[in-house]
Amino acid sequence: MKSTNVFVTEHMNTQTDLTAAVIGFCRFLRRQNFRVGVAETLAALEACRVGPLDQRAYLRAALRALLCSSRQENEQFDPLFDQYWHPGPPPPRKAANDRQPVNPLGVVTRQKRSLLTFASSAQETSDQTREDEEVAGASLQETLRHTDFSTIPMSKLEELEQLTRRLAEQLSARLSRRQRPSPHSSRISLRGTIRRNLQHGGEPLHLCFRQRRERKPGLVAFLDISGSMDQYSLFFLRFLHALQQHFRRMDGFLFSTRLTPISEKLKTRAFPDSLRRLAEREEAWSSGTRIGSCLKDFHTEYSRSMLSRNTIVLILSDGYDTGAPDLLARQLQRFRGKVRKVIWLNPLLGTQGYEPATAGMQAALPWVDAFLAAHNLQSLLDLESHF
Amino acid sequence: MTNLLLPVDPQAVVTELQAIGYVADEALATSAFLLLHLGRPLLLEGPSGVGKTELAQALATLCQTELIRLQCYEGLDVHSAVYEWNYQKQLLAIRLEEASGANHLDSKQGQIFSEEFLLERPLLSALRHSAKSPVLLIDEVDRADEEFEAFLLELLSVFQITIPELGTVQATHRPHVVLTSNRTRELSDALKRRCLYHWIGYPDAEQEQEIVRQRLPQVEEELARQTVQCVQSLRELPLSKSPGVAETLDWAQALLLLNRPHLDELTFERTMGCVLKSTEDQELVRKRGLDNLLTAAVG
Repeated sequence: MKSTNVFVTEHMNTQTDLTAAVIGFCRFLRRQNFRVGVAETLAALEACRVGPLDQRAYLRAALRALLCSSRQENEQFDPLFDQYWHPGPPPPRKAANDRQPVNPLGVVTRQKRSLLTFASSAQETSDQTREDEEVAGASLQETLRHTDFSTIPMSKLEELEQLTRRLAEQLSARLSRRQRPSPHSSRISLRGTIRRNLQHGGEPLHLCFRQRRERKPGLVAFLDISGSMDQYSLFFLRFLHALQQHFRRMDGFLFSTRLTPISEKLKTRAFPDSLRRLAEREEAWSSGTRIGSCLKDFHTEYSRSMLSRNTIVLILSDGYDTGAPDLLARQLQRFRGKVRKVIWLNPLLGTQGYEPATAGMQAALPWVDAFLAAHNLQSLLDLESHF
Repeated sequence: MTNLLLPVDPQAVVTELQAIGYVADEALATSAFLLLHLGRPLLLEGPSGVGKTELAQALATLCQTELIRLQCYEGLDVHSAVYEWNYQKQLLAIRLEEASGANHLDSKQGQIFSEEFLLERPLLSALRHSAKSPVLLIDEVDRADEEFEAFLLELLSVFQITIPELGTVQATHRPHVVLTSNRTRELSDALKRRCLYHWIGYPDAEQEQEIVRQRLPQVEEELARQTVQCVQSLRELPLSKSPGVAETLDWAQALLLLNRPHLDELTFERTMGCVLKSTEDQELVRKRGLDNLLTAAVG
């Protein structure tokens, strides 16, 4: 590392040159998606004023501390710094293109594929259930609410989508308005009581209470998108999307043979858009299932930052697992003591005569706090009491 | 804002920190330097046990000022972070005055909500510190709720607190604020923007050895080297909790206490609890073979 005055004179002869250079650098970073505003720029100039400017290391470290705000940015900073302050041969223009990796053509084809998978499977079932369809005349809504997702004919999909959205909104409103009376929660607020009773000379005639504000729990959801879950995945996705509004924090993952985080995508307000984005990249859609190893990945990579004692873990899967059962059990066990509750939603549970007999399901049951059906909209609504 | 007592450049920070036993590299020293000179809070992130909290303590010693510490936890509220009224004393005062016969409501209100009845909590006492700027350490800020974070945001930008009954308290000397986070959750962008940001990672072997040398001068050079090498290779393993520098120091101290001149398999086995804090991790290391690890470190 050479720290000389040459560095300064090379680039700037006077103080004003330095000012301009720093401002330019801030603008440069802003173009690289750093959050650098006027306040940061001013702070950077101030840093230049107080510190030993003839040392390149100082300038670098000072600007890094001031202008970065995450570990990622920290890592990006040094190359960018060098690029700006020591321009060598011009960097390849390609870098700019990397920022928009989406090839419009690719999006369309891939989106088509996963939607088609869904449509075609619904098409198959529609033949079997034509009779059901004709019987169900009286109250379409009421019927749809109780119809197993897998037997809903193609023609009703649109209506079901709408109904799902409405019910999800309803669920959301009910959840946030709900209050539970509890004898334990009120504690006398001394502050309030004393203030209020000053007019009686401090005699505590009126008591003030304070109640612990109920905290919204966090939710971490895992949605199985393997082949066996095909008919359900799309509805569950919509359901998850609706849920996120009333959790303090919600993280979502798709899993089949590997784990795909979708938290960011679920945050999009309008659903079709986020669905489209999911379709863009989901290669694992409709393949096998390895729940255990996916959960293991979750534990090593994400759990530290996502789990707290106030978190609910929600697994949406039919339990047809091709991995080792004891791996699954061990990974579920790891949630113990870390989270508030583990809920497993199984769409097959609503089917007449279904027993959770698969090895995976059997291994999982002891570590699950609630094992519930999720084959139609009503069963999803019933979930409310568990949150 | 030039303060004659503060170090004049980052290099001086390195030297002065070194003198009080804290090993900092130039980048960290620069962040600390800016913290002292620009009056911006410094947000330190990094794995646990790499000396985030220690830095605040070292800075307090360096500036010869007081360290005021606020430990964050879930559910931390204003009453335990900023101020609280001494209710028992207030009640007593009311009773006493009653007994003396006087009963003027207005004066009473003024009296019992006065300085005398105020209990300062860390944030308020940091603002009202009279002699000179204290170092305010807000530890593990990621554990506090978002609401508290929002409150902090306000405090860190204007350095004043409003107490409804008493009025606004403006900082007499702006405290040097150090925030630490273990990244159990992502902090808000707004808070990050107010702060200088510095990521402290695990030190490399050379630095870590220097730290051991500084903190535990009694430990033989060779033992220090072995311990550090061993911890460094432990950090390569997929452990649920990687050992930090604090663990290295603990371990070296334990070995010193046990009077072991060098690290062997038996000693490792016996003192494993100093660096590996869960049975799963210990199991994993045993499975990999203690001897393998040791030959890599010692040889």
